[in-house]
Amino acid sequence: MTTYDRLSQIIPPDQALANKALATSMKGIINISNLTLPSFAKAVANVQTTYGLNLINAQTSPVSQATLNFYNSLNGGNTVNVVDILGVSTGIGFTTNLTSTVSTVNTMNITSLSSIYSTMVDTLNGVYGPDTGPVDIPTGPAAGPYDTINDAMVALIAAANTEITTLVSTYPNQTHQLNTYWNSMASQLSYEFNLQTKASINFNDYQHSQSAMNGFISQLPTYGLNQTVGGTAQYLEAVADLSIIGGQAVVACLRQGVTQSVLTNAGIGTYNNPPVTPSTLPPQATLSPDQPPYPPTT
Amino acid sequence: MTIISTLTPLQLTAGASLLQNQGLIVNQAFTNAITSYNTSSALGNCVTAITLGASGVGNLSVGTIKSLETIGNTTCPALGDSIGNTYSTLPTSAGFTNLLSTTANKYMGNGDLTKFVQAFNSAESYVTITNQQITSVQNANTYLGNMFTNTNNMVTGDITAVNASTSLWGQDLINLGSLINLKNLDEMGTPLAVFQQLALIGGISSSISLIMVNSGVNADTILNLTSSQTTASTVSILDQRAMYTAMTKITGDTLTQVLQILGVKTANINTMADLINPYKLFPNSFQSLTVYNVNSISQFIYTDTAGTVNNTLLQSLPSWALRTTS
Repeated sequence: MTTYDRLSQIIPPDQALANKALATSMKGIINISNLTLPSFAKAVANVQTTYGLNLINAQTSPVSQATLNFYNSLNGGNTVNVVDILGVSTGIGFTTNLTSTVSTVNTMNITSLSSIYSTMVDTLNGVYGPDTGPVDIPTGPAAGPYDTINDAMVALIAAANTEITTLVSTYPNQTHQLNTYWNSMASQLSYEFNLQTKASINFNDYQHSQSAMNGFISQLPTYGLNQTVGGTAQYLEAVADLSIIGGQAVVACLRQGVTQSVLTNAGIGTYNNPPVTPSTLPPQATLSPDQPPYPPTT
Repeated sequence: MTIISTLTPLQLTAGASLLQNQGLIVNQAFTNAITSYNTSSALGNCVTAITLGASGVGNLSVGTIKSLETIGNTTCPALGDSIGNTYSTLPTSAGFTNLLSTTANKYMGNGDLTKFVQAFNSAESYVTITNQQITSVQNANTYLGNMFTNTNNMVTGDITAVNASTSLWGQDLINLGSLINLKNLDEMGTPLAVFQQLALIGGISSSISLIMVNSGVNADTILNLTSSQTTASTVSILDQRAMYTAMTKITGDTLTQVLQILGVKTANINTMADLINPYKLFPNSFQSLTVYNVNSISQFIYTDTAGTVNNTLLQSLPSWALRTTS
């Protein structure tokens, strides 16, 4: 590079300084060294600037703090995935909590509570009297006569609540765990419903749509490429019915997407796409002639 | 010509099931887990009681049904198959596990998988755009490092960092034809760069060569102008100074010839030496030429309409542009 101290010995110093300043400035233009002057000149002449947009020009960073805050408030700054929106069907975040609930309950003695629930079922089924009464519960914390099944159930519900309060006191660790499991599921479900609103998902609006399914089928290999936690591949694998070939084919399509990508990158072909040319060509329509008659008519 | 299907045999196989509403179901392990809870000896009757009551058995009042569905909701909802009272936005349901089950089946279209795929597509679209927004905004203020100067420069790829009057500067640049080799910006302003560009595009005429020789330019330098070996470091300052002297003498028809070869249409170019004077090269835009100094402050290169160069640049340009280190 010819620096200013050398250039100023060759040409007038003020011109040398102007040239070095201009060159320094122009070198900041992205990819300028790959351009010819005519193409660069044309681009410069047609560029539109932010002139007159005072608020935009006053920005001291690519996006303002207010903009950052807005997007960060959209979802707490967290990315989302399909499981966050439609997760229940996959059981992800639910199955473990449910099985843990059952196993935790099994470590507690909830005989009294179970007995109350059993009495509720019997009461509702008319074992102790008809809907309109009288109803007489023979044993248990809600034992006694009632005018109607409704009245008996009110007493049984109160008894169940009392018994649960007792169990919370007796089994603080287990009930704490149960609340953790249950709250986790309730939170996730609330989150799903919330995101569905944002994503404009309303199941009541959906009509049968074979074209939607056709599009889905064509995208299956692409869905396989998103292998992030809670992403499309994990989601569809979770809901694939592996007991039938169609469900297994769904999973196979997901894997096919990855394989196809790997093979394409390596330059390896596949036999994955059957021809769509029919074995017997359909009859061709007779259309208007596109050539003049021969010999030409005079 | 054989036309290839975009659907593979595996997709056709999957499609044959999906189009018959088969192949995708609520996750089996999840279904089993709900069944396990609902049929447990401990809590199975709780679920049964809620189901019976909610379905009208026992002719319960609305209030009683609600009480039945909210057993334990303030203490331990898992022991009453209820929804914790803090989750008031969740819909009321005949038991929490029932809500989970019915929701899962609703997602899968309740027997119509085309409804599921509509929801799935919406979810996937939402995920794509939302994640792009969130990750973009998280990176927006860091991806440029400390290179951000202003939005105008960011949008224009720093063209406006050189000249905010892009239309005028662009027109001046267009008028310069192929004068400047943008690969060779380090040598901008050197006579060598201009003669090399001339030699590259149209060659050096004998009249120009004669003027160069008469001005003291080494003949070998003239002969080897297009050689890759001929660079600013191999051509002496003395030789380049002689080149500049030659440029001041190239006028009239010879200059016209030079301007035609280079495609220069700029007005008021009186000698070839004007081709290394930015003030002359950018007659319509020189006053808005700028450069960012070492303190990241934009400075004008010219200070007035007469083309006076901003001398403070001698202190504020990067040292690599000002001084030779070796």
